[in-house]
Amino acid sequence: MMMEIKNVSFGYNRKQTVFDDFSLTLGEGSVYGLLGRNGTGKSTLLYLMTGLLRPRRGEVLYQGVNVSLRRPETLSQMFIVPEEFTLPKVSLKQFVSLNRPFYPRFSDELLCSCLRDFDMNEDIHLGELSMGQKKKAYMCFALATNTQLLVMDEPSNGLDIPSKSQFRRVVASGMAEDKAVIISTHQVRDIDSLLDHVVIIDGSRTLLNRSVADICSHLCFTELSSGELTGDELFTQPSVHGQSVILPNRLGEEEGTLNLELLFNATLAHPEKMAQVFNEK
Amino acid sequence: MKTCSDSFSLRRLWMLIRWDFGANWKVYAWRYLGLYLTFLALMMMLVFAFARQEPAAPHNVQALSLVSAVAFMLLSFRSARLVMERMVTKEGRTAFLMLPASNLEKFVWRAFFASVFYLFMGIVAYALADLTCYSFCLLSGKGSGVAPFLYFGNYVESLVHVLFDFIPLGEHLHMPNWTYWVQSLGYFIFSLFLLSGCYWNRLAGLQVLAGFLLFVWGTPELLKHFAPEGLSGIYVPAEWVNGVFGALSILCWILAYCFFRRSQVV
Repeated sequence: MMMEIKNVSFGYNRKQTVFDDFSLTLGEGSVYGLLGRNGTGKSTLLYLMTGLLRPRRGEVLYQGVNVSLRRPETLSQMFIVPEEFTLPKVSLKQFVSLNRPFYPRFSDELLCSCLRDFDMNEDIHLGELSMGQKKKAYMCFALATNTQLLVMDEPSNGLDIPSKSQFRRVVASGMAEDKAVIISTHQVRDIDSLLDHVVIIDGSRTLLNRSVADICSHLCFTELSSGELTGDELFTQPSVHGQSVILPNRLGEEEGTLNLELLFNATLAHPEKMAQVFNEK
Repeated sequence: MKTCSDSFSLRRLWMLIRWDFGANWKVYAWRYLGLYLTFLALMMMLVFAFARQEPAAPHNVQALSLVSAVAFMLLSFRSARLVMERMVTKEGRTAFLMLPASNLEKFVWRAFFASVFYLFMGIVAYALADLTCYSFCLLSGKGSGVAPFLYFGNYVESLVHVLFDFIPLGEHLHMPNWTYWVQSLGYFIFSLFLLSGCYWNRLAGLQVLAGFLLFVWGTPELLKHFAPEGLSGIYVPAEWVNGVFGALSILCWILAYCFFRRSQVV
């Protein structure tokens, strides 16, 4: 396993505990979506994974090494794009020149390719960019570092509509078998077509940790009118066309596409029922 | 398996220094300019206050040394915070902590920058301001003496006498050589500044100033309580002074590194 979070307990102060005996394992070769309610600890989990926070108890291991040690060889294999960041007021070329020596797998081809996908070029000055442009430039650099673990916290925030589809293309093109990308976001519609694996957390519980293929082989996401409901639905919520529903996938074959928003709401509303569906087969 | 190459690498240290200067050279340049202009303003004030015809005159030496002492003391307080300068904001902490260099390399660089490099910047700014002031005096006819910077040794001695007048400790301890006191106390106070910079991050200079004042005013009170007749008859070897303050300084540095290493993003 690439990332192992073992029995971690963490809180920002003695009164508030964010995670209590929390465990999670993540492998390589997948794009993970980390979802959860506001304040449930998604960003905190990302910081724990990258060693930016230290658990009170338990340990977080990246390829068997405790991330809290912050060893250079561990840090050179991971990169985080936080929700808020600042960039120095230098040109992109200068920024790359200063930072690339720290990442031995840095790829100029990837950088150029990502910039092209975002309709940007290398001759930009980071101090002259808007927030959305800075985010795109930073994400290009992040992908170009070619690290085995890339963590992104709300990456599509601040991006315009065309940029969101560009973002999906950029991340997908940068993936490889030995890499993992973990994306934490509320903007589920921006990433649902990108994900290979869905993780939904609620406090110290992992409500769902399944691959998209597995989810689609167990569940069917569809739209029905109110008159078509039969009572077998696992979850329903009103939609423009009637009701968005989740049905058990009795055929056991992957059907349709994942409706991440519906899955998220269903898992939070009926966690035990949803868990039972996956445990039955 | 942890090896020496994991903990400290000169190559990575150089990359870190290059990264810091490359991204922040404008900030450092403005800071240096600020130091230079501050020293220049102080010296020009003294030029017009004392008319530097006699730069080596005792009253001028004492005045300039006191002003310089206060300026360098403020510089030291300011430099205490510079150890954690890259980690004042959450964004800065994220970027710096995630940089693939070891904790020791990051600490060594920041501690070196906050101590040696910043002090060097201060001395260069002081000397340049002094030469500028001297040039002004020559051109304007305000004075014809040599640059007071050349009297720096006199200033240091004068500064020590000023300090001993200010700090009552001198009444209680008999020192064979004031230089040991200055050196040892100076190292210890700076290492205290460094430790406070790593622990408190914000307002580090003010907090260590408060602690320092408590030390210099509180210690004689304690001595008066435990040794009301004074310690003037007791001889304290200079090596003991060096040893005690040296050990305390090393302890401060070790603790500073421990606090630095345990930094988190929040």
